[in-house]
Amino acid sequence: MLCDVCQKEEATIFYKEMVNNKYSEMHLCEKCAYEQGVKKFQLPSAITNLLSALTELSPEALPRQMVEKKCPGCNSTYSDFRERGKLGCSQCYQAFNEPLADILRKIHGNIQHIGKSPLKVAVTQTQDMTKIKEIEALRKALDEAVKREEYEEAANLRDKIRDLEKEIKAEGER
Amino acid sequence: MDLKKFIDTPAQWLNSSGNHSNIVISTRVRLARNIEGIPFAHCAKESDLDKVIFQIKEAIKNNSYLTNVTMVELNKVNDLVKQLLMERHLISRELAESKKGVVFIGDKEIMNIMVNEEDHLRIQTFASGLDSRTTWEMINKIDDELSKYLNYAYSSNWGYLTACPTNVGTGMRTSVMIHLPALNITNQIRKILHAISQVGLAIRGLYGEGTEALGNFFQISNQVTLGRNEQEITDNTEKITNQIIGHEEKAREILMKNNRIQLEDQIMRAYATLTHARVIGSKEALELLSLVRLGVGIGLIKDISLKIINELLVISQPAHVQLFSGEILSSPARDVKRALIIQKNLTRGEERNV
Ligand SMILES: [Zn+2]
Ligand SMILES: [Zn+2]
Repeated sequence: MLCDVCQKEEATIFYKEMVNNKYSEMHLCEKCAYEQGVKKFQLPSAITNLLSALTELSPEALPRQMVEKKCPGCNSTYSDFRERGKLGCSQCYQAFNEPLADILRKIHGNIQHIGKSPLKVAVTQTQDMTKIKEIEALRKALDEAVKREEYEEAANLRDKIRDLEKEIKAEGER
Repeated sequence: MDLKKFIDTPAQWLNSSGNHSNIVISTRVRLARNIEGIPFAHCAKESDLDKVIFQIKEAIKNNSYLTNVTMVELNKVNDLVKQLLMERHLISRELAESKKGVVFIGDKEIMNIMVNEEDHLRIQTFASGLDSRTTWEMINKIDDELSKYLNYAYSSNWGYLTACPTNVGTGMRTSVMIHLPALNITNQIRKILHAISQVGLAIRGLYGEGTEALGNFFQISNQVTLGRNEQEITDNTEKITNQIIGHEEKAREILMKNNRIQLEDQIMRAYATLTHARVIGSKEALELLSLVRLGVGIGLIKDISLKIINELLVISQPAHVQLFSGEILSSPARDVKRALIIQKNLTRGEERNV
């Protein structure tokens, strides 16, 4: 392939960038890449890896059920993800589990998280679930109260949530 | 937001007190987080985004590491203020354009939280020089505290779930803002940048993805976020940055040995222009400040501090120049005001002046 800029040299550097939600692709020889690069460095990045992974896993390459499968959380389809390069909600990770695993392996070289986890996960694994449930219910009520602009009630609910959270925290530290 | 006080107090991370400050301006860490049960920002309804803002506001109130936080709702400020925040690296373009974008800015700008950017939360911490430990320890505490009040989207397999799969896992990006003029002058920059990209790091311009690397200022950051823990990510970024610093130092030595007069001539010409010119464009300012910064780094220019130059990199940007003037200026008028700001700051020693 020839370089997009000079049309003379063999293109050895490929880069893609996202402009207005669409990907544009450039093929450059090393010299032109250098000249462009001094002004604007666009070296291979995670997004490029994502793109090549997405291209390889085009809908045609996937079983029909997978292409048409909708995420129950946000109604996005796998094709939506492919077009946008973004998932719609946290449940998409479960819904598109299989093709995503391939994509993640291509981007990161790994598919298992080994970093930190939120404190709450640690808490829910060991703590009294009734309190957690209660907090959830209070949070919902709090949202409702705020929507109705009943700020006094909201403040009360917030205090209750805080107290429960303090209790959970104290138990966790014991 | 008290705009006047804000622009008169530059971010703490510009103060050049950190490690390798003659080459590294700052270290920044960001964590991408989302709230379970609410679609990612680009997919969410406006009422959902309001919910995100509300929950985060509450969580911040409860966070003992986050006192003195200023909240800025971006749909309530004008374009000039948005640009000001971008110039200070406090918001991204994407956030500026978000319908329900909010930024929480910490005291002295050592931390901030962007809300409803690509992810519900983008938490960031900053430190002067090369210092991934301080930035990590600070952000880790903030994040732990927030996670008590926010139900983060998280899976034990894939870690923190993010809108773009390039951030999933730790959701962490460590970025080092680095100044590499000698590597450019000695024509080694391309080789070094290529090498960096081979070891899993990305290079961007001063203002992030797709921006120009003006004045040989670059941002180096990790790309892999899944399958490595936070410590490995910081250690790796720091290790490679140290190698790059080594190359830049060597290039500076070689220039001083072989081309001293030419180098000093270029630097002193840049210095003379900055202190005497009447009209300076923003790109020109960055290029010239880059040379003067090199001059301070090699000990040629002694009566200017790196701190003043770092601050000038920010306050010579278009929105800052206009807000200092208190009015919207045409581009030619800005260039005149900019020359004045630079001149005052470079000729009046430690005290910053506008
Ligand atoms: Zn070419
Ligand atoms: Zn979904």
